[in-house]
Amino acid sequence: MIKDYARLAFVSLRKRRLRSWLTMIGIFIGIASVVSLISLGEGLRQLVVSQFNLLGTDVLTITASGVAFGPPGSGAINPLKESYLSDIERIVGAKTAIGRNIEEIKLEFNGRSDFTYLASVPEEERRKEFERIVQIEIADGRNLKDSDEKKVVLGSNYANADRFGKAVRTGDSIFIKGKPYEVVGILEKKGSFIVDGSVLLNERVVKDVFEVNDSYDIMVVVAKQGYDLGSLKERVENYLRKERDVKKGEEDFSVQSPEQQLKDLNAILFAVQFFLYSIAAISLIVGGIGIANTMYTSVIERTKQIGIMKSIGAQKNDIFTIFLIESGFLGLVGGVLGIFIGLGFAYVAQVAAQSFTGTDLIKMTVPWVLPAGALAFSFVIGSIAGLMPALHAAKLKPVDALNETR
Amino acid sequence: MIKTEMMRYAFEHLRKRKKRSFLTVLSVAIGIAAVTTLISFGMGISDYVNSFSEKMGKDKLIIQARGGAFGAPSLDSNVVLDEGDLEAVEKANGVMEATGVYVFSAEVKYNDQKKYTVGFGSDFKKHPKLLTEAYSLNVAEGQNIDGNDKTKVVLGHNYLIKDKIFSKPVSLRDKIKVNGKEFRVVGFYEAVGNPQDDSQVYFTRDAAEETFEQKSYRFILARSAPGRDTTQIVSSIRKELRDHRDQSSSNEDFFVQTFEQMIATFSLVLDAIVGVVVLVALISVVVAGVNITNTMFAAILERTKEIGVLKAIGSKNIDILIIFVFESGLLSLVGGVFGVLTGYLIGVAAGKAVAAAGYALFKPLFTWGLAAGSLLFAFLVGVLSGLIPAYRASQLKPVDALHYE
Repeated sequence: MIKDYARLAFVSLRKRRLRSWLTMIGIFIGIASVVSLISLGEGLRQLVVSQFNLLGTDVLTITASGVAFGPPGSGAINPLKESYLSDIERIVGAKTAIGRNIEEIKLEFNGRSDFTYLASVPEEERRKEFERIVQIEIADGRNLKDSDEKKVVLGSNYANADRFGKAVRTGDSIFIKGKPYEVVGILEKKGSFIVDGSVLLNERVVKDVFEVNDSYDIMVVVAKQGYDLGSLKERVENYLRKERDVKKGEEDFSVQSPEQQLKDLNAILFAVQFFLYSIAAISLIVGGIGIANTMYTSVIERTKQIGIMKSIGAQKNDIFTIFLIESGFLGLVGGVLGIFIGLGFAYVAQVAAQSFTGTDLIKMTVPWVLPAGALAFSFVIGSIAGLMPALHAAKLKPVDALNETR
Repeated sequence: MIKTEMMRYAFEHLRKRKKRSFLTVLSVAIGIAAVTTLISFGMGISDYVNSFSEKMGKDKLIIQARGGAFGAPSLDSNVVLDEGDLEAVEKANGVMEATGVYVFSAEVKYNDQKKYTVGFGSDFKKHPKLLTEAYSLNVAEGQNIDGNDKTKVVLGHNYLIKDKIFSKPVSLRDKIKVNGKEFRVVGFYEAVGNPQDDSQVYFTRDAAEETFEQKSYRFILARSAPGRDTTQIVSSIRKELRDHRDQSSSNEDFFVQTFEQMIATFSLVLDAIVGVVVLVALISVVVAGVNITNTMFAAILERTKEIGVLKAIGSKNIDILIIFVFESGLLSLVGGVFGVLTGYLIGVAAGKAVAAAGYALFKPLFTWGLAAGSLLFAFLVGVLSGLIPAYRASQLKPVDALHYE
């Protein structure tokens, strides 16, 4: 039965070939623009998220509140105290606590300067844990060790000539605050601007040179295996509230799990994406209206046919189904074309962007739900758009329909 | 040329196919509404930015330390500008006046609530006009900052609004605590339009230097002497600062910009963003155009016989073409009218919503030009979309057309 309906719908679409095509074009333009925007937008979102190099899943990050225009911990009013570290390490479930200082510096080499951030690396037992969670690897030279004084490890960006007009190599001297430091190691490229642009110094040296007393810009708490991160977070917050003498709900610090950080970051990015997608989706609504319009025309043109079908026993249901299949089909075919054209367009945009920027950072991403969702969506739009016209056709009285003259 | 009779004929048909005309009009209206709303916001923002540049005047320059990965230094930067740099700027040829601006983190306590914001401190005593002009600070309530009294502060506009910063609005002569020190509120500035500026706390230079022990400026603001070429002044400031900081032009750790430059850069980025968004919205107008073409094909098919009659009684090809092009243009124009109206309403509502969220800078700007442009655009889309179907109709042979069933 359904097969017959489908054939009937299909034949009538073929008969009005030009208008069927135009209707589908309406849908496929919409689907194509949404699909290409989403696949590029997803790629961009993942690129942005990867830039932040969020730490492993078993760590908590502590920062003091303030007005942050820059890196974590900048502009903090009541900074994190050094004494917290050993206290936190005594909390149930905490394995290690690491403190880091971040300083904004002018880096000089080859007569040129670069403005960037410098970060401290903890020493002794904490150094190992730090190296594990940050997952940095040395590409050239060696890592810092406890006895290093005027030694620095640089991110892979400095191995390019474009920073200082000349690549920095291990053994070179680089100037920080006017004093020379020997480069002992260059990090492996990670694809995150935070890691690739890093300037690492031993904590003792940073505290000494920048006159930091007793404070950290950021703290990282590593959880013991088998302990729940959520309850550890609560215990750390309890400790900090007591230590800093603040009430619940008025914290002047924040303790975040990587999950939370990722969620916050994605929420912001999603808001931007959503805005653009919704504007693109307007064209889908307009395309849907096009389908409705075509279907009304189709019903009017076939009024007599409907009358005949009804007089030889077709039920309301049958007529309704025939027209609904027809409009759903218009949506679906438009959707299929739209997906292909959209993906093709996104690919062209990706190639263009890559050759324009000279990097392969911009990559389109096609989660499998995208084509599936687009297909389902276009079918639904077609069906909804056809609903009213199909109902209109189903309700026609046989006598009136047969009498209809155009 | 088009005759009134032709127009009447077109109207008649649109009315006859009410439901389908309505749907076509609706699709145009949606597309035009989206485009109109977005453009009105784009115009509103650039108007806001331009109004700033007018109020700030063309004679102001800003000097900042370079820093960070993002161009501007963070609050605890090690690359700073200080008193000596200010003196160097003042010495530069063509600089009429200059002052340093302290910006620091502030924990504001009021009525047992704590909030984190930005403290802004500068020499309001010696350079009141330079500062209030550069940052568009107009007193809404009370008075401007009293340069002599370091225990008094003026607050941004958001402190006047309930639940915006504090659950209870702050009023004149109230006491607030900033970083543990007590201050009396003597005034409020008018809303600037962005949540950051509107929640700042403004201090005297003495308060910043003595109470909060600020030593380095975040900016140095300068005013050029009237009638002087700003690019020349920029280079003379750079030279003075380089000499003072003992640097060469390849490793300057500061930058000097005129406000005009700053705003021009900002506008460029803004226009690009608005352009992309409008482009995406235009897709829906294209789809609406396809709908019009489709409707016109159907209309012509239904009226094939009529076209035959028209031709048989002497209508020329061009007459038929004009009739149908006019019909589709009219269809689209009506959609445009509804679109502009809806776009206006959406714009006003959305503008109110974002203003309530503290972003008064996102204010739509509707002009007659925008309305006329949108209508003209809608009409053109209709005419273009109707061209092919109308041409087809005009080429029908009378005999075939009359035979059509």
